[in-house]
Amino acid sequence: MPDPVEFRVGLKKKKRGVTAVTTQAHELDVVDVSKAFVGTRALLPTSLSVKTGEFVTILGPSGCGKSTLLRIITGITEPSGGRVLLRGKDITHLPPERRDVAIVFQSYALFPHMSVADNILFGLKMKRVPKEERKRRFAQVVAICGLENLVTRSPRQLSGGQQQRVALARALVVQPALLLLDEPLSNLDAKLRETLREELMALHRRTGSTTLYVTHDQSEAMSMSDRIIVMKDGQVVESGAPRSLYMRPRQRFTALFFGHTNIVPVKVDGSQARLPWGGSVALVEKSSGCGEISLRPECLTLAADATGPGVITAATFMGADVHYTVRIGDRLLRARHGSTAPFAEGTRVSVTVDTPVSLLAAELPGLTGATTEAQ
Amino acid sequence: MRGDRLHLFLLLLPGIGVLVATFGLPLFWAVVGAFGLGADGTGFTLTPLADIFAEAKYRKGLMMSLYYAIAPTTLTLFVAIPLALLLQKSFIGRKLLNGLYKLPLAVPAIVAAFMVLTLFEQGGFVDRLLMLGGWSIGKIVRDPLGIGVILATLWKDVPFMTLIIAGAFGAIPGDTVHAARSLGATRLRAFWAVQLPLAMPGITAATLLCFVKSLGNFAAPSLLGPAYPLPLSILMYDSYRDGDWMAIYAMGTVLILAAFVVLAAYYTLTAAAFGAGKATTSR
Repeated sequence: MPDPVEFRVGLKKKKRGVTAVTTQAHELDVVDVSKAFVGTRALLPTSLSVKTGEFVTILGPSGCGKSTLLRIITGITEPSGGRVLLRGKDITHLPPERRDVAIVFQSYALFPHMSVADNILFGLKMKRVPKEERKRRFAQVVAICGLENLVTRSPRQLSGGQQQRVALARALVVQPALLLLDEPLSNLDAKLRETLREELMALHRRTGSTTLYVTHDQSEAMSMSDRIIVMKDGQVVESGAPRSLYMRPRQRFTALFFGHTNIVPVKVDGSQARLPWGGSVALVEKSSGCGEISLRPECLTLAADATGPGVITAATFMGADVHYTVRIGDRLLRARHGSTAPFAEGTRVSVTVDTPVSLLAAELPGLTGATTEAQ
Repeated sequence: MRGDRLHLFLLLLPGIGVLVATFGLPLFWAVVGAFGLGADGTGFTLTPLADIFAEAKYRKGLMMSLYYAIAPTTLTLFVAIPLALLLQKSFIGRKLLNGLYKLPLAVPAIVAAFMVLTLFEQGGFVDRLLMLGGWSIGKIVRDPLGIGVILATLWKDVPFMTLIIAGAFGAIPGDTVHAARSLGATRLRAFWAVQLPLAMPGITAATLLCFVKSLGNFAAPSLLGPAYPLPLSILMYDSYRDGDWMAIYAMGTVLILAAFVVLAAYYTLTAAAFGAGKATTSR
């Protein structure tokens, strides 16, 4: 592990506007952390790491252990086993106040008896930041989060979106080594969620803060993250860049969790997978035998073909796209095409795939395999 | 317009009327009676009220009443707040403790007073236990400091206050405290800056209820307190046996006034300590 000074240099570079990860250093390392509550295992031994400046999302259905993991990293929950390292330093048994980690809760958890300004200043006072520095950082974070007109208000007088921004400002102002966000958008309505999602990303670009984000919303995860860690039943299923997880998942669970898809059995021959209705699709890695692949509806190319294997059985106009159900033999496939030249129901079509895919693993791989960097 | 008002009056009568008849009128008679007015009054006079401050028996009685109310209430706060905080945690035996601490609530005050008497009297249970080791219990029953009275009151008040305060702490969302901790507050500072101010309405309510309850405490002081000075509650009973209604009215009025003064002082102090933090923004 490099010494902390090097990290600071990396961070400074970031602030000058370098958005890419400038160092391969790990800000956070979670090593074999597990949690057992009475009678249940909330979290199986789990490992993950977050690089400096990276925006990583833990994605999974409710009850998958993602919030437990976050609480262990903050120090609210004591793990049953494993270690948590922040900038190479073991913080597993440090109390929350001695970790350089700030968290934004789903409920925001603002202090209702304090003004917005006092909420934001709380961390700086607790960490005994000198008054001048306090002033400077306060002004900065208030400007970044657009709270200029709200500082004298009480949290009770704020809308959900405003409260969320205060909670973010309160966490950002202490300039933590790691920012944790626990489903911060899930209490907001759909439209506000989208706006704040963009604001969050812009904020991340400006501050370059290393961020670990927890959500059950796959579109949130895909649009915001440098990397996504998919969790299920207390363990990591798979991790990787949003695009590769979406297009080339290695786990059936990931394929289904990221939205509509077609799970298709294939016969593998080297780097080609033969589709059951004829034709083949390129594989990203060589293999052999039988397997399954995930084909997104938009990856299926339909073409009118009187001798083609498929028949359009349903066409739903969605505006920009038309969603089709294509029957090939006794198999039904979902396909999606632009709405400029739609196919009528009953049209015979050929179905081809141009994007390379990966084979789905038969079952969950060993935990070490699941947590390796898949970028 | 007039019809509307009559309508409103009639609608409110069942609620407010009952309050006025059962609470307002007796209070009014007591206060009026203290000035020698009212049905069995002798005409306007300040003598009975003045007597309370002039005569040592009554003056010291008032002090004793206040002492029997303030001392146990203050001590109870110091036991109830930590206990209420402890009950927020999850630990082995929490359920048992949660049930056990409420037991004294089910024991009538007079029974509690007799329990303290038999336990702590000289020659009582604790004394005899101590004797085995060659020690002796001090005089804590009918002692000048009223320790026995305070113990009995404490025993009754701790569960009562803990029940209310634990509710107040429980109503604070857990993440609020977690947020404070992750922002750098130690356990103690999170308590002072977040938990205590947020639980203050509950703590205030519990304190006031205990205080007023103890101000009129009769069972414990009559059984466990020193023979002199006696608190106003007992003096009122004595006056009743003597048929001195003027004195009863006067003492009642003074007790009510004393309660109001103490409550006002308490509100002012807590508002200054915790209310001010809301408005000021030290940047």
